[in-house]
Amino acid sequence: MTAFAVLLGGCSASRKTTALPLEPITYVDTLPSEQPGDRRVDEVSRLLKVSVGGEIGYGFSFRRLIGAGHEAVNVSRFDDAVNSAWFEHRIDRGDMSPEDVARGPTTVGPDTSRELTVIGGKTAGISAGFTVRDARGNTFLFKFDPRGNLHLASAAGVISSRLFYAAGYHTPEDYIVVFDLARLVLDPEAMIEDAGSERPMAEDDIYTVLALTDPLPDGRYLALASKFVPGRPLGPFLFSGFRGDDPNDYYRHEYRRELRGLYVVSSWLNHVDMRFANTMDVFIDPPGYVRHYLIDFAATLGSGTIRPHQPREGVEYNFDFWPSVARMFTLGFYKRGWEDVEYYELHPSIGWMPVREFEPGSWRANWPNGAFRWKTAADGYWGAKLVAAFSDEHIQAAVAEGALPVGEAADVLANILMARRDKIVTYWYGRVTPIERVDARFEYSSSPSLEVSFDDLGLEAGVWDAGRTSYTCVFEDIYHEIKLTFDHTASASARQTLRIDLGDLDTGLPGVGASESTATLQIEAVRDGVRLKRGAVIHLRWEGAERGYQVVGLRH
Amino acid sequence: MKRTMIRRLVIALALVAGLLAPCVPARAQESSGDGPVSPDSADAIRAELERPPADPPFDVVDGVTLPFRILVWPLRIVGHGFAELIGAVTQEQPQGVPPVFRWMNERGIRPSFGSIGPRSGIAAELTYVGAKPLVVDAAFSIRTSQRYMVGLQFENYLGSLYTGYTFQRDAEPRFWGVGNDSRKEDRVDYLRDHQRVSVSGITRVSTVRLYGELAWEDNRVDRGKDSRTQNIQDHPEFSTLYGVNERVRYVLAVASAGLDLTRNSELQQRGVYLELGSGIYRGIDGTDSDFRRFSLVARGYVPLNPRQQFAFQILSELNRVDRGEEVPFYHLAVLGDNLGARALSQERYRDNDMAALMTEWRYEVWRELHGRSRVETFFLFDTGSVQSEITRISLSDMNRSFGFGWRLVAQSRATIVNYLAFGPEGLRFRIRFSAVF
Repeated sequence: MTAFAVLLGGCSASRKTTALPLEPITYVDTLPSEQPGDRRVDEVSRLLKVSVGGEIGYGFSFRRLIGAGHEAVNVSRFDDAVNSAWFEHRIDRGDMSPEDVARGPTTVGPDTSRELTVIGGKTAGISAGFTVRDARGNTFLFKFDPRGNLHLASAAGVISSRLFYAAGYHTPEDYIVVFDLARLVLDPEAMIEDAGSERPMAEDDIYTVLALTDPLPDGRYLALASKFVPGRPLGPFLFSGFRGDDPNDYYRHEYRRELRGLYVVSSWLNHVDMRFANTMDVFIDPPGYVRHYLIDFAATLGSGTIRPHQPREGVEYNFDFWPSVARMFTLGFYKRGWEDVEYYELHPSIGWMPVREFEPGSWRANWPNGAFRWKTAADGYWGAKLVAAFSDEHIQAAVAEGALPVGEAADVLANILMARRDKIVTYWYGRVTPIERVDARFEYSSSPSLEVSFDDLGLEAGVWDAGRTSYTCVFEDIYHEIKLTFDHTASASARQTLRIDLGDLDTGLPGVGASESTATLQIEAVRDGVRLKRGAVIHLRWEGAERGYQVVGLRH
Repeated sequence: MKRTMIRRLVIALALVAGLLAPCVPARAQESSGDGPVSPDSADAIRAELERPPADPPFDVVDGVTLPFRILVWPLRIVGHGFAELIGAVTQEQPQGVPPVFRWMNERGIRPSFGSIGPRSGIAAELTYVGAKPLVVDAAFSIRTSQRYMVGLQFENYLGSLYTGYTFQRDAEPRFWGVGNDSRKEDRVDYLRDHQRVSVSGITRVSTVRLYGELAWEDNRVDRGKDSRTQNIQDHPEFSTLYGVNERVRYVLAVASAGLDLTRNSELQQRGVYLELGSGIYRGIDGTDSDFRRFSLVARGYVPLNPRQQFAFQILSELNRVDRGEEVPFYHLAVLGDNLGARALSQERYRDNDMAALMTEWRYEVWRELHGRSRVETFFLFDTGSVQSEITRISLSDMNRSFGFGWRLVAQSRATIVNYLAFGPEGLRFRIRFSAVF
């Protein structure tokens, strides 16, 4: 709301109007540019900065203490992100079928019927794997499940990749692949990353990697094959600041709506490893711009990549500064809820993904970041709308792509995702007054009136009952100098219509310019007698007696 | 003015929409070609665009917090610098370094850094193990302490056997006098060269650890290298102590037996450890001194729950003269620093006998998700004393240290211990890279 700067002026010296904010421009960040340099981020110093420096700064932030966090800057007048090199509206536009979700970004998977040439490998780090080029010339990164948890990381990777993609983010093509060991051929030029350095890869290295996973009963191996994204990789993007050598990277990342809203999607899919290391900037040439990818979804859902998730994950950062300080000053007696949670494995292929303990507002990735830290209720609501757009069928279709070993496991996982989706919707729709699809109809007569209609997503999603919902409304027209306050009791359906009697309206005043608004309608939902802290504000423009008021903006 | 701006925005929008229309797909973008816009002309378009500011506008909260932000700005700079430094130190592949280390490693040369003796300061050490069982070691410290060693090391599943020659120079250790009432202002320094030819062996049978050593030892004391401190030879009282002016040679036999009932459970030590040791020193080549040494080390790690733990260490050493002169002053039992009194300087007190109790209340404050490291905080309390005979030690003579600190323990066995200890002679802030106990 504060983004709407109030300016004096307008068509008449004595009449006030409000200048509408500028809007971000669709795909403007795909304008051609010179190729930016490679970015190498030192993990330790970065994590120290965000986990210690960032947390201390946030802990003492006056802005946080008084709840005056900045809103996202790259939002349209209707409080939405626009398509860009970061994000594209997909499922929330309502035209993705379950089949589309299941397909995700995939095109052509690895050809396992012919030779698979191993051209590189990695034995160190959290997950081992190797790089494979198939007979079609496509390159994939093969990663494996931990022993005792076949399907755990591979299914999580493929399912989450599909869901993040459908939500609107750029993701690589991930496939479940089953291959015969005999198909693997070591490229004589292959190098392997071992103990922080590279050396020529030997056949034994392949066995070393494969020894970390279980073969299938028929002796073949199952892996997650992640296709190399097209373009030139430039290293990760960060969740704060911007890339100085990319002229298209205009908005500071911590104020980007799609990165703040990503918190909600990440919480849904339990992507606790959502940090810079699992992102990638890629230079797409032609035409020559940087596209921003999310990569590596092996630590999502119930999978912690090399083991199932633990109850602590999703609740506390890997290094959570303030709880650690609290433990320090309470002789270690300070405890958090997760410490008493009884851990159990839902199924070896699913791992640990709680529903009851899941709290959408306090979920945490393993490492803090600026965008997630400074998200507001509006950002959370925007992210929740993305999550809410996934129907049960969409979820089931994506889960089916994970090739879980038994139907029961797939059903359990789908049910968990549905339950977490519903919790997210309930929580975030309760942080704002969730109205959308606003229309205004002006009735010009001897007694002019304005009818404003909108969908209450809280009622539409069944989170609240219409019988126990009402709205407190304030209509203020600074151009006509009218201010009205009234209550409205919700009607049975999600579509609500408010009728505002404007008997004293001076309809003779001329309409104002396209970049201005003249009136606001603030609506605060009251659910079960409790007024929500944050109302929605509809911005209206007077366009003369013929056209009356037009809706020109909406803020949550 | 306003109209001009609107016109520009409309033109820009039209330009962008028009130019990008062919590459605005419903799914991931695929471009059909270079298109008519070059990076340079795109810059011109970008410059004309009117869009929301990249940052939120400066507001009242920014104004209110501005002075505070200016105040903490230097701290932020320091913090960022510290993070960068840690990052550089822990970087897996610092440019140019790995090939050197790899080259050395492949040839059996192991570089390391650490202390090599009392008040040595940080020393750089190179150990050569490339022609086993030969072991060659050389170390040199910032305070010019040195150690050179050549020997043969045999190892198998039963244990290890070592025989070799060592020369060590402690360039500027300090000495405050003998007894529990030695004064802080009497501090002197000295230089000690000692050589040793030895045969030693260690074996471990189940939970029992046995150690034995036979050695020839030569000691010479000279003027210390610390120009700010008086030399021991110039102190009227200390200059007459046995070992200051004499070259002292011994043959010696040392043996110890330890019962190790500890185990490392999730990076936390648990259980008890008990070690008894004895040594016999016999003067040779005109050295008129024979003495015996007895030592005790007892450690206990008592977990109260997975987080809280009480840990203690009891240290004691007794030296008894059998013949001739006193025990040389540098062979007396010591109390100070990690030996019984963390608020005191290293080797602060010396006498024939020493007894100390070191305790810690430890509690975990952080554990890495994958269990690869943990941080615990601890409160420490040490108490100890030296006397000519242990029976003379009384509770009223005890030197006490209080303090607190934290310890990072990693799966790789890397340890960082940092503590602040308070005692009768002030406070000591220490960072160590090994556990005290």
